[in-house]
Amino acid sequence: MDRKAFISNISESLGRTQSPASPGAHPGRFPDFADAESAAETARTEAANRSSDLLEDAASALATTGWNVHRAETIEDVGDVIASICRGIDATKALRSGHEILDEAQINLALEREGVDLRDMNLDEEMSPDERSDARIAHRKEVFQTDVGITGGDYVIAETGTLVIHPKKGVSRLTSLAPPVHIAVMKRGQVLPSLDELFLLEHVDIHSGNRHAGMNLISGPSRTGDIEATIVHGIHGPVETHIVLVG
Amino acid sequence: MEPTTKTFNTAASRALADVRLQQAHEVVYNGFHRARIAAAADTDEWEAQRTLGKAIKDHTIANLDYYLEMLADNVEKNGGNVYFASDGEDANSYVRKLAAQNDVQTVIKSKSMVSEEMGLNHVLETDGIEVVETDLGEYIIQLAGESPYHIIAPAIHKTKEQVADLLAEESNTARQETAEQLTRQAREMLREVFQRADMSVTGANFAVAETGSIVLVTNEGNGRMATSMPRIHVAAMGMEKLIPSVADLSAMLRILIRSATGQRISCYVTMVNGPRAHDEEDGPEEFHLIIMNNGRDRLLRDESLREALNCIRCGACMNACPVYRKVGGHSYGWVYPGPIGSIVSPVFTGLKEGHKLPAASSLCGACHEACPVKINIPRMLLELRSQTAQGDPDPAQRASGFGERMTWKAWRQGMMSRRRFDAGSTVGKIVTSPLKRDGWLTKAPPPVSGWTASRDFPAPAPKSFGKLFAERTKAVKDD
Ligand code: SF4
Repeated sequence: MDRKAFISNISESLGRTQSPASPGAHPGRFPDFADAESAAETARTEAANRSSDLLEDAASALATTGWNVHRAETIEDVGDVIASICRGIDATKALRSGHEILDEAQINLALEREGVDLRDMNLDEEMSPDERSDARIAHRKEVFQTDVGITGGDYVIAETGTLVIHPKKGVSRLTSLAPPVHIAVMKRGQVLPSLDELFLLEHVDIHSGNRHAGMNLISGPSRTGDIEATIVHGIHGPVETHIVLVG
Repeated sequence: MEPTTKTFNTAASRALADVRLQQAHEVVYNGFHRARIAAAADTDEWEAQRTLGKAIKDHTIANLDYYLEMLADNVEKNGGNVYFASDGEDANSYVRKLAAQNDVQTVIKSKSMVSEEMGLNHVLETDGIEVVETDLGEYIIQLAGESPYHIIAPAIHKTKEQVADLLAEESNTARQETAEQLTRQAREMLREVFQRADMSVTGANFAVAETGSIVLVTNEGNGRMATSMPRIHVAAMGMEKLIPSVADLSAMLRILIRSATGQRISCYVTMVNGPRAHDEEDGPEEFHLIIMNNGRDRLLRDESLREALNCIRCGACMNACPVYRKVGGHSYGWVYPGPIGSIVSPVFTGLKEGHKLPAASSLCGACHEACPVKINIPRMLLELRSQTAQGDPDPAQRASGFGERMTWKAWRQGMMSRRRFDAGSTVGKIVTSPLKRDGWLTKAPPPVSGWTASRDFPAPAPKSFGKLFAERTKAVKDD
C-alpha cells in the first residue's frame, strides 16, 4: 500500500488531517539530545572511576547468566587461560575475531603452542566482488566446523551479566554464534553499570554518525525450554560460554 | 490465519476435558507467572519502570503517524526498504514478489506473530518455497501442523514423546529420548537449513524510530542466525510496535523480558540497523521492513480501546489469567489468545464473530496488575461487552439478538423507578414460583436455562425487603 495513504489513515484515525510537526515532549529519560550528550559524558567518566568495583559486579552477574568466568591479572596471562579452556574441551579448530585485545594477548602464539588451528575470517581488501563472495561461502562452511570462537567485545553490562559486541569488519556475526563454545576476552574499564548507560551511549554514538550495522547483547549460552519446559543449553548458539576478565 | 473466535465455547470445553493440556497449563502458571512475580519483586522501582513504559507507549501511539514516518525515513537512510501493508494479504504479496525476484528457494523464520496473522507460511509454500520455523517450539508445531499454543512457549502442550516422533520422522534418523538429545537433534536439523536459506523472515520486538533499527529478543539465538546467514532479511511488525528512541530501550527491555520469562535479560538481544556494512564478513545484503496495519486502525480510532496498542506482547496477562490457564491458547481462535487477545481479536473479526471472548473473563483484574505497560484490560473487556449489548450500528455486525436487546432495555427501565421495580419483582415472584425447590431455582426454561445450567439461582424471597421494611416501620409506630 502507498506510504502516504497508510500514514494519512493513521492521522485520520487519531482525529487529525496530517502528522504533527512535532510530537511534544518525549516522556523518556532524554527528551533533549543535549542532555543525553552530557549524561553520556558523565556515564563514561563514572564507569572509568569505578572500574574496579564494576569489574567485580560484572564477574558475579556474568556467572549468574551462565558464563564461565575466568580472571586474569594481566593481559599476558590471557593466552594460558584460553589454552587451558581449549584443552578442556579438546578443541582442535578455533576461529578468532579481529578485536585488538586478542592481539595484545598474543593468543595466536598461545594456541599455536597448544596445537590448535586458529583462523580468522578477514576478507582481503584486494579481492574482487566474486572472490569476496566465494570467500564468504567458504568461511561459512568453516565456521560451522569450528570447535571454538574467540572474540573481544565493546562492553560488559554489570546489571545483567551481558557481553555487548558490534558486528563490523573483522568481527563476524558468526564467530560468537556458530561454534559450540564461545570465549570472550574483556578488560577492566569496559564495564558499564546497566542497560541505561549502554543505550544512552549507543543513542549518542548513532546521533554522532557512529553507527554500526547492528549490536549483539549476549548473556550466557543459547538456551531453550520448549520441550516440556526443560532448560537445555545450545539450541542454535553456543552450548558453553567463557569470559576472561583482565585486570 | 482464519479466525475461529466464534467456537470459543466448544473449544474451551474440549481443553477443559483434556488432562494433558491441564497439566501443561500448570507448567505455564508455575514457570512464567511465578518467575515474573519474583523478577518484579527483585527489581528496583518496578512500579516506576512500568509507569515509564506506559508513558513511552502512550506518547508513541498518540504520535503514531509522526513516528512511523520517522522510522520509515531512517530505515531507508540506513539502506533498507520499507513496505506499508494494509493487511495480511498485502504483506504476503510483497514477500512473494521479493522471493520470486530473488529466486528464493528456502525461507527461515524466527518467531513472528505478525507472520501468523499473515498466514505467510502457507502462502509461500503454495508458491513452492520451503519455509522452516527456527524457534524450537515453533518448529515442533510446524512439524505437527498446528498453530502456536502460547506466544512465548508455542509448543508447551506437546509431550517429549510427541516431539521425539516428530523429529525422528522429519529427519529420518534415530528416535531420541531426553529433552537434551532432542534439542541436539533439532540443532543439527536446523543448522543444515540455516546454511542453505536465502531469506529470513523475523518479527520485531521493537522498532526504534529515530535510528531505523529493529530489536529481536530471543533465548535460542535463532534471531541472530536469521540476521547473520541469509542474503535477505525481512522483518514484519505490527504498526504499533515502535518506540521513539534507542535510549528508551533499557526501560522497555527490562519490563518486557521480566514480564515474559522472569529473566533479567534474555540470552540474546539483537539490534539490527539495516543491511550489513559493505565491508562486513556476513549479514544480509538486503533488509526489508514490513509495517502492517491489519485492522489495528480500528483500535486507534476508538479512544476507549486505543490503549490496547500499547501491548508489547510479553504474555504476562495470559499467564496471570485464571480463564486462560484453564481453557488454553487454542480456544481463543486467533493469533493472540488470553486477555489481550480478547480485545484484539474481536476488534479484528468484528463483534459478531468475536463477542464470546470479552465475555470469557471474571474481570478479576489479574491481567491489569500483571501488564508491564499497565493496560487496563478489564475496562476494555467491559467496553466491548457494552458495545456488544448496544449493538453495532451496522445490523450485519450485531452480536446480540433483537429480543435480548429489548429485554435489557426493559430491565433498565424497570430498574429506574421504584414503582416499576416493585411491580417487576411481584411478577418475577409469580413467574418463578412453579420452579422453586427449597428456596432455589434449579432449572430455568430456555432461553434463560444457561443461568441454572451449572449452579442454582436463589429464588425471590416470599416478602421483598421493601415490603418487610414498610411492615416493620408501621409495627414500631403502632407500638
Ligand atoms: S497486554 Fe500487557 S501483559 Fe498482555 S501481552 Fe500485552 S503487554 Fe503483556
